[in-house]
Amino acid sequence: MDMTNPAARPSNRLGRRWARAALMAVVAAAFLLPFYWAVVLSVATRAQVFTMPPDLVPSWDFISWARVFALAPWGLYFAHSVVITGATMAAVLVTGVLAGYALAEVPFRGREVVMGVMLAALMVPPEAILIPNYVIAYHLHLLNSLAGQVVPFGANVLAVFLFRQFFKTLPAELWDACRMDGARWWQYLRHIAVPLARPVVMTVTLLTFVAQWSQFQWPLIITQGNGARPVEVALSYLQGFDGSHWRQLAAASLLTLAPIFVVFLLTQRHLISSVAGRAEV
Amino acid sequence: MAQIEWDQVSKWFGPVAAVRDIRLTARDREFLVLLGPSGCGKTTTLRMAAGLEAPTAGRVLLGARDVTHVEPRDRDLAMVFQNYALYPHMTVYDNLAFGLKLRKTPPANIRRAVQDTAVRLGLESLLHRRPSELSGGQRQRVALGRAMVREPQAFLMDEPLSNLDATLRAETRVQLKALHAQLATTVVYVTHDQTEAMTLATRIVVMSGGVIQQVDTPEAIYDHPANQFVATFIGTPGMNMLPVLWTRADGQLAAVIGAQRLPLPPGLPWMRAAASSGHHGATLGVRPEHLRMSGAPDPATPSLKARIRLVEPMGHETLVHLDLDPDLTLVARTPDRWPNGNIPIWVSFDPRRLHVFDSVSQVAYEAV
Amino acid sequence: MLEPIPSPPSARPLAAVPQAHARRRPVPLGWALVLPALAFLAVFTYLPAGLVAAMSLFHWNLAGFGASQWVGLHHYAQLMNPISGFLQSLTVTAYYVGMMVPLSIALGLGLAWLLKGRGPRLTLWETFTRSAVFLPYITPAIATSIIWIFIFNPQFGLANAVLTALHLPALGWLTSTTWALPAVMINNLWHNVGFMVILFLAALSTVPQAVVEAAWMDGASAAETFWHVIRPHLSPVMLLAVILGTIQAMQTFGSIYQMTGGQFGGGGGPLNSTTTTAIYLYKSAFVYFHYGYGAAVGVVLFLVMLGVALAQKQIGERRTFYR
Repeated sequence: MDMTNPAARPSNRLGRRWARAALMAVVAAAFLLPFYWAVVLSVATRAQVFTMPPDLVPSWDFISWARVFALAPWGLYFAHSVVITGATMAAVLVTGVLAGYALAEVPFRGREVVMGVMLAALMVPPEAILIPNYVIAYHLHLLNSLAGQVVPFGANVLAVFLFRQFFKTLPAELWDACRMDGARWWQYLRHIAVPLARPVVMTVTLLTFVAQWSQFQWPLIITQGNGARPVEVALSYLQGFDGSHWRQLAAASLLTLAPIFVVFLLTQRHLISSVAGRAEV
Repeated sequence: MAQIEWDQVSKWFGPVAAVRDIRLTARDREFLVLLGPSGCGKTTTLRMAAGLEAPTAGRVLLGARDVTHVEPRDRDLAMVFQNYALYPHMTVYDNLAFGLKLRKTPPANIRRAVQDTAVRLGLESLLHRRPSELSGGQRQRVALGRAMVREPQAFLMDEPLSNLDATLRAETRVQLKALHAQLATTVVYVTHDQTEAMTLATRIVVMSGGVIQQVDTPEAIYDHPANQFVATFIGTPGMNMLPVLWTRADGQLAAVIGAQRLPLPPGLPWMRAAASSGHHGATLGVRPEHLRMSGAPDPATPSLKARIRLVEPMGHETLVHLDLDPDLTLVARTPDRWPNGNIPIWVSFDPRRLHVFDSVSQVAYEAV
Repeated sequence: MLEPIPSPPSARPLAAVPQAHARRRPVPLGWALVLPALAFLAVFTYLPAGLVAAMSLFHWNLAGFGASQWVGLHHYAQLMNPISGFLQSLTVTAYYVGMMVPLSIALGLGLAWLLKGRGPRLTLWETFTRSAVFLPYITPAIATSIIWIFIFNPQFGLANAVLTALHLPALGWLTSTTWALPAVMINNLWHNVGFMVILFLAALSTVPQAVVEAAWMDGASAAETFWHVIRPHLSPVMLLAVILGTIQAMQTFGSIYQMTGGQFGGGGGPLNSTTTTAIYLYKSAFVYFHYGYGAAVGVVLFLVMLGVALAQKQIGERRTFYR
């Protein structure tokens, strides 16, 4: 039986540390391998692609990257995705700040009911209401439009609750002091409450960005042609039409992943804690 | 004119009355202190003047103007909060300037006003710091500065010194008094600390249970408390209270205290009122510093027999706890040193120093 | 007769002034502020939640109720008929969810244990590995599924290269009715486990170090310490992980669609072996344009998810240790 105090046997401890570091290296490699292989494929020469076993050494031939831009109007798709994602972030922030503020700091008759109603929205699985949402979008003339990809996501209960949670932690005197300084409620929000809520703004922005950039099923069913098609749907079509051009497909995939990579590198810590916080609400 | 008037103001929170029927005027340039234990309604009274709270009944007037339902921003008053409520993400400069910016003051004027205030409070070198980088005393000065910078008609202060340590509190108290003299503005100041009230106030308002107990100058409040609450709340330690029964011997009034009898000289101012009350007893109050103690009875002055239970030496004075009876205790405050121990002692006092309270209404007879 | 500090006869002591008093404002403002959020939710969550039930009773025409034909419970009867394939989709979903939830929790917990900080602060290596594990979770499923299609290519893919290197038989993966769904699972395990890791890392950080050390001092082995000391601290998060994992797995769409030929008829192949209920619902409405029938699928999905969540909560709370 292992009765030893871990501190008592330094050599054993050192060995375990190395074993752990090695195991972590294997894990990191396994999780990054798909991305790495995509990079290798996107810069591979023609002869390198269909080989067994696969060639994992990049040869830095950028011909596929040049071709992929000729393959589809990526600029247009990116513009669509950027507009959709940006507009949704703005909408979610505005609706979240206002409702969160009201639910935290403005007593009104029926506030508890509103809270309950909002919580109930979390219980509705998006998949289950996909079809009626399509019907509603059809009747609101939102099919095949950018607006149609923003409006259904314009309010997010999670964002409302994150803001509410934060605003509740602000001392009441801050609002009192603001009133004495001559502020109205919207000046208090703009100059005091929202600037102080920067971490929450950041969290909501990041979560919305990740969710909207990855959005697929909804735009798939409501867009046709190039009118409002976002990058992920365009990528899906590209693979459907031309699944055999691995090098271009890999390049195109990396292209749509690039914004995610960049945002991840810039905001890594905050992004991870945002996702962790998401689970706690 | 910076006069604030509460005209029969009441405030109810649901079924609970925070303040009831407040009639009070803070006169122009006065330093009015609202004093009372926590929950007595003093902060609510202040907040109704600020406009942060709307009265349930009654009116609030600024000068002659009824501001009962006027928003704080249109009252031209400034407030200093207990925990300062500085804007944590703004520099000291921006904290001071915020109210002026909201009022669309021209930038040049803002800069000048902030600079002047900073100089006045010794904050020049701190203007670019954030509140989190300041000490407690510095934060307190910023909070004061934020109120001063707008040159409001009156200042409202809600326990502004209570978050400071004792030394700093004493220093700031002196500065505040000097500042009031300099600014010559009305100040309404809420505190539960009677030292602050006594030292700062032009007049003190003693409150309890949402009701005003007495309004007067510090000296008058101390010397002539209107009722038992004020008498015991003001003074450290508070006034000694002795329930007594009246008795008459040889045509002279005497008080029966426990098992002892204390003859009283005729002609004291409260005697007529006590007699007309028709009660058989009353409550005698005597301040600790007015008790005299001696090791032997003095036949010339009537005295009470007591035992020393406990002695608290304070250095400049001594607090002596005395037992008259097992359940009747007194505290005496004396410059003399007394030994600890269960020593018999005789206690006497000048009868003119006595306060006498009606045993039912608890109101002082001299005030009737 | 007299209390030491009497209060005046008229005064009742005040316990405490209610907290909310500071923030009273005119009544309509609160409503005005929640209105935008409520409006969005009303149109795109509450309304469709009601509409889906109504639609399921009609042979739905996009023009609206007037143009639709009432069919009553006909769609539900169809769902129960094995020929419709719906029951099979439920089986596929159960298989998928039944594998994904335990696997992602086990893997997530294992990785969290590995990546848990040992010292006062995280080493660079720990941070890097955490990031590597987390990164897939935030990537769009379509882009990464395309990479996984390459990996599972029977002739030139990495998956078979690994199997061959281990002297195992190569598999058909996405072309095989047996192995297509496991291929999807591997992709999604890789994609989603980062979330579980984050969840469990947060939970592990709340286990008091003193309790763990006390267990060591009592002579408990690492396994015993984990089972008797650490596991009870994880139980609330475990319940959360089961519920969130189930919700996520039941709604998985993009990766299955993309990996199983969505562009050629909506995915779910080969031979419906990967047709989960989510894929089935999509195909009913947007490949075969039976909106009413699809709505019925949606209603059943809704109820199943609600039932599963409630059951998990019931069972879970009985077994959960709360401090």
